Amino acid sequence: MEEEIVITESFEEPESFNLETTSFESSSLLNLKVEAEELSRETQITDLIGYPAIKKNLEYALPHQPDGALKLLRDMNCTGLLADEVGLGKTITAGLVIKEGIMRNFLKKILILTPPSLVDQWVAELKEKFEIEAKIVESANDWEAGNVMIASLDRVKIFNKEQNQFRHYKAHEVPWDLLIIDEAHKLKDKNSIRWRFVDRIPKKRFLILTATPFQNDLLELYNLLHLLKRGHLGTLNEFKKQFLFKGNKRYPLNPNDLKRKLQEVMVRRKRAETGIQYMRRIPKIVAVDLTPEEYLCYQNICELLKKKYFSVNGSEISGRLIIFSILPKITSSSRAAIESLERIVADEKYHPKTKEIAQLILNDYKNLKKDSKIEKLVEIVTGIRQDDSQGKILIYTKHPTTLHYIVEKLAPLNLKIVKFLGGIEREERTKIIKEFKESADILISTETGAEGLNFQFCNNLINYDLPWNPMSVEQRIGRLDRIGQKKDMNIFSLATKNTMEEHVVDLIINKMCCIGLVIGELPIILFNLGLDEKGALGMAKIEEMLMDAFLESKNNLTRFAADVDKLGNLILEGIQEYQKAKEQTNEVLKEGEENGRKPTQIIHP
Amino acid sequence: MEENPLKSFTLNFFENIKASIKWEKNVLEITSVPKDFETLFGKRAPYLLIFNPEDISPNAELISPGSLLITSMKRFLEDKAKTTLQKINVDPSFTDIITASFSLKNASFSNITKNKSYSSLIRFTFATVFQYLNEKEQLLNFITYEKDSIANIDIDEFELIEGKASEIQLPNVDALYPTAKEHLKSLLQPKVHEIAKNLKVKLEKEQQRIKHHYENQKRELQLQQDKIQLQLVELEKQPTPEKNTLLRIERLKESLKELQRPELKQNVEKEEQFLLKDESQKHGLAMNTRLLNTSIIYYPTFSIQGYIKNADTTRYIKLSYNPLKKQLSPLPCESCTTLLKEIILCSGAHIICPSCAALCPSCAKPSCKNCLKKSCTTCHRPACKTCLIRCSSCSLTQCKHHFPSLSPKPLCQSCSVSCSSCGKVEEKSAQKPCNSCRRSYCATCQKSSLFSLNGKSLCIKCSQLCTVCGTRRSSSEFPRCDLCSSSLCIHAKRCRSCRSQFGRQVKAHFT
Repeated sequence: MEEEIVITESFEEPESFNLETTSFESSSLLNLKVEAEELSRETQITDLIGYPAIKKNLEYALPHQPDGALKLLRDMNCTGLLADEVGLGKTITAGLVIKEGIMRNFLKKILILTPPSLVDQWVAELKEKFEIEAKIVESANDWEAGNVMIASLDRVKIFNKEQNQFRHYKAHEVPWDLLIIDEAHKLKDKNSIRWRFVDRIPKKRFLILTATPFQNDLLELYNLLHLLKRGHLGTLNEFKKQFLFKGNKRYPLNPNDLKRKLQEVMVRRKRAETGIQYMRRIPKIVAVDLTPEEYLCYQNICELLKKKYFSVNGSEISGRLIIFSILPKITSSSRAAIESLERIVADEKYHPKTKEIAQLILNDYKNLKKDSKIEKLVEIVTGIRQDDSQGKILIYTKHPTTLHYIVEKLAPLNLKIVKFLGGIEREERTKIIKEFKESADILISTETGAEGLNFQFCNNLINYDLPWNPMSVEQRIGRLDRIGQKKDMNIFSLATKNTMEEHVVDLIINKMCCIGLVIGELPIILFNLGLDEKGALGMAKIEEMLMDAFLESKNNLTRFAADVDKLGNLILEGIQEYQKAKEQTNEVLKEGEENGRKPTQIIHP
Repeated sequence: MEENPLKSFTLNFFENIKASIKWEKNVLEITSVPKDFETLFGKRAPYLLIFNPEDISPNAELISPGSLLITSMKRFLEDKAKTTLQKINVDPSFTDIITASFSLKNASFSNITKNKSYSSLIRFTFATVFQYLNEKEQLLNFITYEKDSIANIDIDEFELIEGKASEIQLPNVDALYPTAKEHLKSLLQPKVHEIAKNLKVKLEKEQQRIKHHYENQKRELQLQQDKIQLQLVELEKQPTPEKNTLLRIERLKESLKELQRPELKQNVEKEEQFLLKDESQKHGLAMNTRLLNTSIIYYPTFSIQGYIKNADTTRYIKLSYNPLKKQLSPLPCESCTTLLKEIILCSGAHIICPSCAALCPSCAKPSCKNCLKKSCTTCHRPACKTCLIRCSSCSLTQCKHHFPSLSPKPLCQSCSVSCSSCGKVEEKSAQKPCNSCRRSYCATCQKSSLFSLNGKSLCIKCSQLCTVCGTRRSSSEFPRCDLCSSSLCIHAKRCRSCRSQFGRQVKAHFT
């Protein structure tokens, strides 16, 4: 039976025609009104009408972004796979599609499903770059709270077995004009709840963003495209028969046929085509030799936390969370360690013995004549300024106490320092950033300054202390490693020798963040290894693994080092797998070179 | 070079809302913007605008189709000019119009005057937006009504000025609006049909993909079941199956049971329907119509009066002129009712076409067939009304040749007689004839020209006055001169004409 086209008609009825009381308006206004309607006559999408207005909000005008958006809009009816390589700004391209659709009035209800860590980033980018207000889905009733909704896919995919429905079933009741899935490499399993949740969402247009449409197995690609456009690659059996052969899950049987099929639904550009230059990250781990007194303090405090940490009623406080929150402070700086010890001493919830030991250690800390770590920092800063008298420096620390301590200790250098802490108003933030860019020499920031800000005019980063979550470190480095960075980046990380910190810094810096990966690739590798999820305590899994290794090592550095090495080897294997998969993926998805496309020039505003 | 439409629209807009406009090279500065627009736009004036991306200027905003300013201007206008009153300003020269419309063969126009009144049109302007896939099309439709029916008039060729409500009686728009909506639907039909046709092609392609996929899926499911059943048959054939074989049979049966679950097929079908419905929604057409403006447009209509005139006849005419249609009301031939281009004025004051005109044999002037229907009862020739006269005595209609006199009343030859003395024409009964020569004499001339002699009336020519005795006698009583034959008085001795003597002859004659 032939389907008829669904036609919905609406008629905006005017108010009544009471001409006796109507005041007639001038005909020149009428002519203008008709002229305005004539201007809106434009129909087919030949260029992006919204781009000129948005361009001023983008840091750089990269032609591949509007080109990609136009292709998706014009040639694919906004249903496709945006598979640009990592670092090319898929979010911007998707944002251009959204903006254009809103301006042309065919996109009203938009849903964006992303990893949890990117929800806020999407909200911020849509607002700042595209002047679009988006709302976050917090509860099951929020789905119609606004026109542009953003949700964490991990959060909303929950299936209630008792009720035999998804908790967020209301997402399946809204007729979305556009659904965007960011980092869709998590949708490669057709049998996962995540996949089924997305499949049931009614949508007129569907964009899938992922730099890695498949990694280990062509079936991942099949599942993704099965979600995007049913039947495009045939049934599973047909796909297997046509494209897979035994023993090789990654390379297809008929690569040209597969490429042809993919070209109908995919936009993929490689970095080489765009002309964007990516600078190197040069890791510089600076070993800090503690004095015997400092080392003793450190040992004592570790001992306190692992073995002598008791509550007032005598029970051992062995909760990982408590240790996780105190240990990083202690390893951050002596000032932060003193502050933590003072709290233990002052807090009535601790056992007197614990408090007594804490007091002793506190006294030792206060009697320390030297702070090797801070002295090393001063050395590094001086060295950088000697090499480059105009060189700006970004210093990160996890703790506000340490931040203030660093400011105090760097003051004698007579360099202009600006501070960046949490709780600062937006206008103040902008002012500080501007000051750093224009006049200040050093910006010292806590983790707050690691999100969403751009310091590509600076190429020196000092991690005074290092979070044990590689993604947090990646975020820090990502402030410098952005399009527009013209110099190789010096990533200094202080590591106190003969401590846990030394091994963790080595793992995170030398084996994860500074091994030649392009920004954005590490999260994919961690995902592949199952290390990107949250652990039992709500922290990053890898962070919890390292903390657990610390606890289990019972201050045995050799044992801790061995555990960290194991983790390091696991990561290395993951990276190797990823690189291999990337090569094969590029081979399968290869386009552009065949068309003889040349890389474009990067444009600076 | 083609003007940038955005630029001209922007300029027109700000001029219209009485903002101040100034050009500084290629940058347009707008100041003195009304507060309501500033509020809508969200930004206070001054505005610095450029229209060409190549004109780089600090602080100036590039105006492109997607600019917020353009959107704000459009939104500002949405509530404006919903109802307008306009007047078509036209005052044509009627002489030119009339002489251009008609040519007169035997007459001319004179005393042309005009009266003006107003008629009105109602024009609804509808904007319809068609949205489908990622396309948007917009159509403007102007539906104009004159009285209660659609008028196909191109108003744009006329000068429109602001109207005054006091000049006309405002029409009832409410009654026409539903009809206009219905008419709009019919106007939109071809466009809807065109779009739906294109969408249908695309939809069918996508539906085909989905149906094909699910057909294959169901087929594979079936094939899988068949394959398992075949395997089972083969395995169950074995008379003494091994433990492994029994296990395998068990597993195959479980798999078959799983595949044969009705929910499996139902889910596949449900999924297919969901996706087909999805595609149907994707390929839908959304139409939104709104009434942009209702205009009352009034225009003068003219009533023209005058005369078609020639030396003999005058005919009054009244025409009306509609300046929109540029039409004079037609003049039909009064004989055949064909619409006239060439006019002939009939002697009977009829306006006729050349085909219906014929020359009156009597006066040789053009007449219509009706007027030449009658003939003279005397000579039986057709004649026009002018030429055919009814005798006031015998009532017979005759051509005027047969009327020696027409005043004071028409009298035909048969009924009239002319006084032999003064020539006055009168009815026969009004005059007395001479018994001798039968000449008639009117009452006046009878006194001097007709004598009663011996019981007979004799005219002056038929009687003579004796010069001797002074008596009048019939001329026959007077001898004639032998020489010149003149009439002689019986008492005369000589002929008064030739002076010959004729005494004895006369006496002899009379004795």
